[in-house]
Amino acid sequence: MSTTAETDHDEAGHLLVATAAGDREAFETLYRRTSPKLFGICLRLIPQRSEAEDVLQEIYVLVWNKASQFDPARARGTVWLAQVARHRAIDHLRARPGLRRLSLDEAPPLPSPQASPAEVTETRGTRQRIAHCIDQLEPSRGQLIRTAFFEGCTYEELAERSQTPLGTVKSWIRRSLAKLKVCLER
Amino acid sequence: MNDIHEDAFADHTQQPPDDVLAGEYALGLHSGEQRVVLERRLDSDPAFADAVQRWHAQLAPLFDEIPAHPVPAHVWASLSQRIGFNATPLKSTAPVHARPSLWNSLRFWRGFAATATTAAAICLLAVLGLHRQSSPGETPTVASTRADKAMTATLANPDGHPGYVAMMDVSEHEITLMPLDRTATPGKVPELWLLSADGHAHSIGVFDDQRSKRMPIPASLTPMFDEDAALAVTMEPPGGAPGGVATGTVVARGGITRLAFAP
Repeated sequence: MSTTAETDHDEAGHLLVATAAGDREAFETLYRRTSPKLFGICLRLIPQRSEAEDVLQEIYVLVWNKASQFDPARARGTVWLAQVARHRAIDHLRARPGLRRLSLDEAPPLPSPQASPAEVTETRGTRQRIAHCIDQLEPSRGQLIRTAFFEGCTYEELAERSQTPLGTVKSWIRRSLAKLKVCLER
Repeated sequence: MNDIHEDAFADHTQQPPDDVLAGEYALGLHSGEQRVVLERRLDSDPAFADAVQRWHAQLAPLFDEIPAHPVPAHVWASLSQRIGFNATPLKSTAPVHARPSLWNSLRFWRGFAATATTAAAICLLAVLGLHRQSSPGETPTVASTRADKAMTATLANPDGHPGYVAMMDVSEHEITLMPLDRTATPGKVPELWLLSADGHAHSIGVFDDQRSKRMPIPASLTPMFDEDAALAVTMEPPGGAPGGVATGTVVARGGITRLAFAP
């Protein structure tokens, strides 16, 4: 599953529309095609495997019940699903601060900015847009944005991890978001 | 939206402009009450919702950096139960409404035909042997009638390789399930199901993942054994699926073939 393949054929989108109509077969196909990717997202955000499995299950319960909220005119199916997954996983983290705390204590400090992976995918061209704009930021700020995205950290957690006052982190991120916005819409 | 100047962010106690706030929300930087407040705002403020959606779309390519990960089978098992796919219990012999999604839609079964041939050939020999053993001294007429009731099925794993071979002597109400290349699943046993032509699933019984096992075919199921039916195996707790409801996913599946004997 790719989140950004810009083809006219949005298979996940079609399956979501069918799922919204109560088509169980479509839902099962959707699950088989997309759950490994969404599980990857859950595992990235929630280090405890069994918790990540529970959240994955909750995500698909949500998808089954709320597929009608998917609007193919507004988002690609895979993007919508990845977004639902990340949002739900973050909700889970927020509801259990201990979970994140535990992993933060064991977590290494923020990776060095140069270490940004450039996994080559079929959607490389699209990926490069956001990656390019993040790369335009000061390296440490770009890394804050990446950490927020990939690990679902709050401002407080980012401040703790980067050993920077909360107010400073907020200002950095807000400036970075403003710059990203300009770059992305250029 | 207005142009955003860096100076606007010097005072972090001020709420940032909506575009930036939407970005913060999309990244998930908020916690507690603030997150809830913004979530409510999404419902009441379409412009803000649009701004969040734009951020989501622009950030989405980053998901490509997260590798996919195989999902354990039990997640689907409990998920499907939770959303009511298994709401109708499967009685062991009585036909009940099947869940077509579970039994029929598994596209990965396609492409199995090529790999099945060898196993089907082995199976044919096995059934012949079985048949001769079970009917010594039969007259040819009776034997050919019985041969009409000799059937076989090769059940393919999700990867398309043969996982089990089933041999059926329906006139003797007997079925043998032979595991071909199965690694035992701790705490689980293979349960065999007959998927009748009308789409219903009927439990035949619990078999063994390491050795061949012969079982009687429930009399009520005998008439349903034909070429329009299929067999499937799910992994279940010892003793079989509780209440006759399959809890595991289908690990192998294959159509039934009637054996045609040369005169």
